[in-house]
Amino acid sequence: MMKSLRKYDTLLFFLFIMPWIIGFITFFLIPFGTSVFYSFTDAKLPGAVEYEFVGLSNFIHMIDDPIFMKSLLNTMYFVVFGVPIVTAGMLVLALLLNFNVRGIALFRTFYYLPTLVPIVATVIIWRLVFNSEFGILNAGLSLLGMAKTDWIGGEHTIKPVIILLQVWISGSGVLIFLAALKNVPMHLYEAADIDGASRLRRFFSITLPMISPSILFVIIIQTMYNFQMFTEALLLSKGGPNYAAYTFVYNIYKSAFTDLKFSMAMSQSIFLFALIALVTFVLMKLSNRFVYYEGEK
Amino acid sequence: MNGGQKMSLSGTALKYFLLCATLIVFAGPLVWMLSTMMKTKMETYKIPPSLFPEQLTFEAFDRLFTVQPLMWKWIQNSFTISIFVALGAVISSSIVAYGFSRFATKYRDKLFPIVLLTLMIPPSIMMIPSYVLFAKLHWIDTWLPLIVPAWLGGAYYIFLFRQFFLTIPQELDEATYLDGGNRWTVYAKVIMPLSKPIIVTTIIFAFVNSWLDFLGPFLYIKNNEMFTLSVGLQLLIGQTSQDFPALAAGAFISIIPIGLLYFFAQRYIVEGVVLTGSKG
Amino acid sequence: MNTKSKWLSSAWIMVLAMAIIFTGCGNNTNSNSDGANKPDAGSNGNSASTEPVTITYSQWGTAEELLRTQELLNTFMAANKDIKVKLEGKDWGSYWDGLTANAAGGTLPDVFKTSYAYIEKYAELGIFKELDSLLTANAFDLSNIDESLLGLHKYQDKQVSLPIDANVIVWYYNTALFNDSKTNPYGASTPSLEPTWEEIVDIATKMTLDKNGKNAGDADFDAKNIAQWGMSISPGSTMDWFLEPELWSNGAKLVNEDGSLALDTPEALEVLNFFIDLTKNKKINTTPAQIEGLGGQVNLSITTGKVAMNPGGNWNTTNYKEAGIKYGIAYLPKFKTNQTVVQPAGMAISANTKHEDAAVRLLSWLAGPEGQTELAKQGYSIPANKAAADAYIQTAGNENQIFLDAQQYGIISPFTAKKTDLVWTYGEQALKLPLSGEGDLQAAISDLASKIK
Repeated sequence: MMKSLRKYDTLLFFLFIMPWIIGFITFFLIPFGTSVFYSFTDAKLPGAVEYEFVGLSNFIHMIDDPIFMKSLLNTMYFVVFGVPIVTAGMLVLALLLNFNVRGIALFRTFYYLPTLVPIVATVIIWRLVFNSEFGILNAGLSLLGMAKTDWIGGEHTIKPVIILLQVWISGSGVLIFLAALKNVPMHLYEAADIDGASRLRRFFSITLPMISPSILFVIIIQTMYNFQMFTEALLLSKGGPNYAAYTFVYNIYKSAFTDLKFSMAMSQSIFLFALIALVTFVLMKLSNRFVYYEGEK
Repeated sequence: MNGGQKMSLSGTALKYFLLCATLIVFAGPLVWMLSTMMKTKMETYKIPPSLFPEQLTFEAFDRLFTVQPLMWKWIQNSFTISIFVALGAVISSSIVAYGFSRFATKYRDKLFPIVLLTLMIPPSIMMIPSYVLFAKLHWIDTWLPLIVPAWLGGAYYIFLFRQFFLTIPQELDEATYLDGGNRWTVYAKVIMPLSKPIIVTTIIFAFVNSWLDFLGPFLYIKNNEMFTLSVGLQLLIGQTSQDFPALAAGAFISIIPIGLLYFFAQRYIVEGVVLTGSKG
Repeated sequence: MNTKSKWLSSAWIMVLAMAIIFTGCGNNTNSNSDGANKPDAGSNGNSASTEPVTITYSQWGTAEELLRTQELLNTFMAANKDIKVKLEGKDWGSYWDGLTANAAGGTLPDVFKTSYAYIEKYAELGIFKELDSLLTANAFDLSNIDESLLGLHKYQDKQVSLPIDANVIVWYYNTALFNDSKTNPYGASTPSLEPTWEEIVDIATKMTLDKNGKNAGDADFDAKNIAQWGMSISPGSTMDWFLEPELWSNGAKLVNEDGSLALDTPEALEVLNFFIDLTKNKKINTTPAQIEGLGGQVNLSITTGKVAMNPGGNWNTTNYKEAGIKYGIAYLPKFKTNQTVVQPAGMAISANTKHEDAAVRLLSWLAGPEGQTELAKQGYSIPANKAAADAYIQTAGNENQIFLDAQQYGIISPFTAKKTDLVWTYGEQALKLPLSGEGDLQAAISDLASKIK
């Protein structure tokens, strides 16, 4: 009797997760399979009538695309510099918003507001602010005696501007940290107080370890996001100037839609997927050493 | 006195100072947007720029709606789509997450990593193949490609729901079984009523994400009248790139509805996101 | 009892999920069958009794331009009650990406606008229907359209698209700025009809003012605080419609016969360095940052009231009228000879249209005498069909005669897929900043040359 119940339970389990299974097959496996299939062909478009299997040729010739290396390096820049900066920014903001002062709810709303701005509108606003001639930023800086800088149009400034933009719209990550901070048990701090620990020490020996799962989560989400970043670069500066903000996914988009080399775009996507999987795997492995889970001890 | 939160007056002042300094960075651009939209077109070309409009005018809105009479329609569209997406995300993801958190089958631990794996796939890989799929289903130029996937369980929301469900004690389930309840009653009568924070969080996240989605509607919707606000704004930039006040007005309009929604619901969000406390 | 309710509730989820899918499918199949299953009204000539066929027409354009196209389509539909045309509009940038996506998904519009710059590139995808036999069958008179314009819309000697307008590039100036002593304190005169660059530089120097009212020729001119610019050009980001004719004007070329980059000849470098000098040393031209600051489009710079002159197309007169500015027109400034670009947009039929007949009728109407006359009467686009030339002048008046006259200076430089890549994909990224004096020109040219190999 017990056994039959268990069998039945397995069936029920599948029924409960059925929506996901359907979605997974339809909107994931099928498109993904299509991508893999085409990456071994020379099809210019999906559904093209004429194509041939070319084996690994696309993967080998990937590097012939003049923008390939540059866009890969740009994306690595965002991953290597953007992820830590944005994550640290989120954490600092969460600590600020965790202050127990009057009116903090209002501050939270204002800090979160940028996250709710549609990306196109964000780009409009940032163009207004960073506009080298009529923007408020340069006007403010000139009061401090600084020369006009072409932030969005400059080869060396565009990437930092995009990272800054990510901090500006980082509200969701801030919320995750805020929730984690609220979950740190009060009694730990009380104990530390009795020991006479300094604020800094409290932060590093209690807060940080306790919220480390959230940090890992945010870092992984941020890493994936930065690997895939595209819309910001497209809308802000069309990836320019001189491909300074041309990200890897932007180049995939270009391969498919502008160069009309769909199969090449698919190979590049699979390359990126492998890269993301590898980096995430390494992050997870490393994290075992640093991330503290309650209940583990 | 209370958990060692030694509050001195200077400490509070410092906190306010830090908060306000950061506020300039976060709210500053929005203030600049408000200021720009109330200027005349000529004033936006002034050097040095004036912080606040010399004479307040709302003509930018007139021009905005003349250039783009579909603005309201787009807002309605975005609302309709986002509501359906949010509903779908809550219903489907919570059911799936219930499966992944309460059934002790061996398949659970095999399948759940796959759920997380799907988070890792670049949407760009899916972009064109999905387009082909939707075209074959005759879904292009409808809202279905934007809505239907949400009804089939989003990996991110499944993860959030599952994390939350794991914090609800199993004893409650067992008590329900003793009272003659079954799996579904546990889900519907026990788990869900206790999950208000994560439900609200998911509604808001899903709503916001759908509201902000650019690439989806950009690819799948061609008819201007079916556009969402995100894509519509992009069209607007193409149409009136020199008119900064009108563009700022467009950006302003796109923030208002969702800003209000967030303001009233923000309390739940923080409660809802529970990521600590259990090993994935 | 218990088990049943479990089953029921789980089934409910499934039903819900499936219902959504199927209602979606169902709805769409319905709307789709509207056109698909009905016989093509045009082909059986029995139009009165059948419901109209619906076809889609897609084009790029601003809201204004789309409204005007809608007017044309309304006129067409009034005359052809058996055809309904649905207009889809995008902006220039997303139009072409959208077309690729449509080609991929098999959802191409029945009839769509084309640019001569993209004919070869998209013809290679096989998205165009060959028009020759269809036009013959419909007795379409091709002799009214200029042979060179037709040639730009051919692929492998087959007509794949029909030119509908012959847009031309000229030089505009904001007359109000010249007439006001506040904005023209040094009394610069407006450009002559066929200005040389020498003349333009002189005017622009006088019209470029700093915040103290000094002009760019003064010794103590404050270049960091310019309040008004003499001109706005961006040769690096407008290669096809500005840089190329200017190169020709100096006896140089943009691309060689074999498609390789031709920018390293002495004549070409002379032109490039001249433009660099305008921005970098003379300070009478807007920098890319300033252009971005003024809204990002050089051909609309004079609408800001901060710039005296800029190059633009005949279609920009709409934008100027909308912005409420008074403008004058001259030919593009010349180095040696008058040159300009004629940009014929065209119209094509999708290779997999289900309503070939209706599509051909729409195309023939829009590119033929009737549609072209209607287009001409609107007074904004220059019709490609000569049968409509008179109508254009009657409506647009003599001030627009220059657009017809300028056509004779159009360069003959067809677009290949390679040139499209150069102009639209790689060129702007590589040359925009160097051509305004930021960065190494030689390095940028050789980098660009290697990219389009």
